[in-house]
Amino acid sequence: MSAATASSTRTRAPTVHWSRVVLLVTVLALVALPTVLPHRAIAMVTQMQIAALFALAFNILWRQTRLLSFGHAAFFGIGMFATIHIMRAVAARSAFLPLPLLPIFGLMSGLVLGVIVGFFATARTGTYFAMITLAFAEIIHQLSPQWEGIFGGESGLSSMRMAWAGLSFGSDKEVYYLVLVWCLAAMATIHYFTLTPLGRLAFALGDNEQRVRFLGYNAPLAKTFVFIVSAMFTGLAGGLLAIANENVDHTIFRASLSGQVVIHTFIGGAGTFLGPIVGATAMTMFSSLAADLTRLWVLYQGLLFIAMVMYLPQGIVGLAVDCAAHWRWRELGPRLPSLLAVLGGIILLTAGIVFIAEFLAALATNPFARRTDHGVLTVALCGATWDGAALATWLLPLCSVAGGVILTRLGAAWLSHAVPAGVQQTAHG
Amino acid sequence: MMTGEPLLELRNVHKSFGQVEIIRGANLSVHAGERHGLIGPNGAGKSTLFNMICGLFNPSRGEIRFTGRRIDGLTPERINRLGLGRSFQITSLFPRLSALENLRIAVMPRFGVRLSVLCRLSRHEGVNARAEELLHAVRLGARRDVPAGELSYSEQRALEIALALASDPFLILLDEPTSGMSREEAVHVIELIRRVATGRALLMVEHDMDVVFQLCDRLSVLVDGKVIASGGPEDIRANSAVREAYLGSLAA
Repeated sequence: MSAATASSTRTRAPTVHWSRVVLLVTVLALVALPTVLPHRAIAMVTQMQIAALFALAFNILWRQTRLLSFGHAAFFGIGMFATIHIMRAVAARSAFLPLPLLPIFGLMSGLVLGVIVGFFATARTGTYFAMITLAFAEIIHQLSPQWEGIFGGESGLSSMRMAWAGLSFGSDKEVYYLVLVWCLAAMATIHYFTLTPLGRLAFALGDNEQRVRFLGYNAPLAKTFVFIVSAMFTGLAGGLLAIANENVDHTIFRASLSGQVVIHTFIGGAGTFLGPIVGATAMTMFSSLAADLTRLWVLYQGLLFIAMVMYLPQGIVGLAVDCAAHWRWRELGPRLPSLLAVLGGIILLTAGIVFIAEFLAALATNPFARRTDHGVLTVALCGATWDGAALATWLLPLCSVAGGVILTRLGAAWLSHAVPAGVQQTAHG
Repeated sequence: MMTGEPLLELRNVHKSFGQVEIIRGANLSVHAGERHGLIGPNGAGKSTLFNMICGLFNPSRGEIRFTGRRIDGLTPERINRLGLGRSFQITSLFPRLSALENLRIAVMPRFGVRLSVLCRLSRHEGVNARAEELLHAVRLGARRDVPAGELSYSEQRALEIALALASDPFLILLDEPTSGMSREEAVHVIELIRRVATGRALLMVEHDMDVVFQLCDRLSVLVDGKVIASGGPEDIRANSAVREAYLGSLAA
């Protein structure tokens, strides 16, 4: 037995070592980032961190306990409102609290709402659980515009960050560091949670709730506790956004925010700890950058989500984990052509779809689309003018899509041909 | 011979699902330290009876007593805490957790750390010691870090039995512990049960007559929702009603 332990420590040692190095480098990079980034980018990275914490808190429920919540906007929003109210009290000098501690109120409000919603929702699992969370969030969404005293009506509530201990919190940089410290501490705590008795039990509940009951546990109570932990950290993320934005209105409770955190989590990889962090970071950056380029970015996000769930359900991080487990660096060479084929196929496919979508959107919405003599519309796109009646206008993107599909499939088939059976199993499992 | 109150006692238990009455007045008693086999033809209601004892269903009528108190109507977790552990016919583990972690989850209620978030589970010495002990009792020491979902079938069955033992119960309910096993695997598991169940009462459902007659010192025969006979293996073999209703049909 001691031999077995020794050998398992020996094989595990380098992995732990490397993950720590990566973690350290990432943290150092995050600390150094504001010194090199422009102002607007600092604000964006702040938003990315908050979105990452939100998704990570959401995924405590799904990854461990297999409970899919469609109402997490409620906890995020309540955390924002609670924190804004405290900020207003501080600004009005009726409370004396340092700004860096205020996100605690977001956390506590998430906790309280988590107790209430969790009590009802965790009495059920699966679809019924999802329905209850959705219903609670929708109730709050519908009531919030009417309760002006609490939620500030249509215009919402604003406040300002008050200086504390020589820090003005007036610049993006100071806010960035405040959010960074909170996010890192919260993420470390959530990771620790997964190792505690309740955290391990949460995995057991997700695997086999009936067995947990036959081992003498009160399963609904245990699920409620896990729910509360998730709601608590979601409220904290909301509190951080309240500090960063200095305002909030009732639209924060919209169902699309609850949906967004699901999308972030599944694109990143819902089965892994890091998945939601990576997914939320990538998609927040994508939406921020893409929103400048096109109004259709929500469509692209949706298409990406559908494609991921259909063809890569394990998500970005899940794919990376599979590859790390089954691939060796020396096998990369022979696989390179097929990988490039897949990549090229995806690029062609994306280009074709984007062109068609933008063209249709321009036709449908652009009041300046010009009628030609033949009564057909032309649209300016990608630095050229395209005739809606010309065959080439449609043939070109359609060929691109078709070619992309063929190339991707060929590449994938070629790739899986060279891959041992184990990888295939994991990919489809 | 059987003195004192039985550990488990079923008195005139009935169970209906809709119009269909599955259990029609079953009486059964299991004494401390006894290895009791519950046999009967398919559809006799053995699984239903099992599920009522462990609290998954409530009886429609009658009462179930365990350690001197009524347990019908209690939840499975309450009944487990009174000292009843069970295994499942269809392997029922936590596939994402390692063999050792499955056992940690199973033993931690005994150490009062059910829903704690203040320590790492893997650092809890009492839990670790007891989990390792059980792991070695079922000879899975070399597989401690393998996810339960990746263990072989007979290893999963062994872990299943270890989970039933984890709460240190007075009575263990085993639902077809050798189902789906080869003869060699079955022999191994019987040996395992014999070894780990010493000092505890055992109630098992089993289709394999060889297994039942080897392992059990007392048998009850359930036919059409009623226990038609209870006694030692030789009595049961000799019982004409049993031969007619059950063994006879096998011999024919």
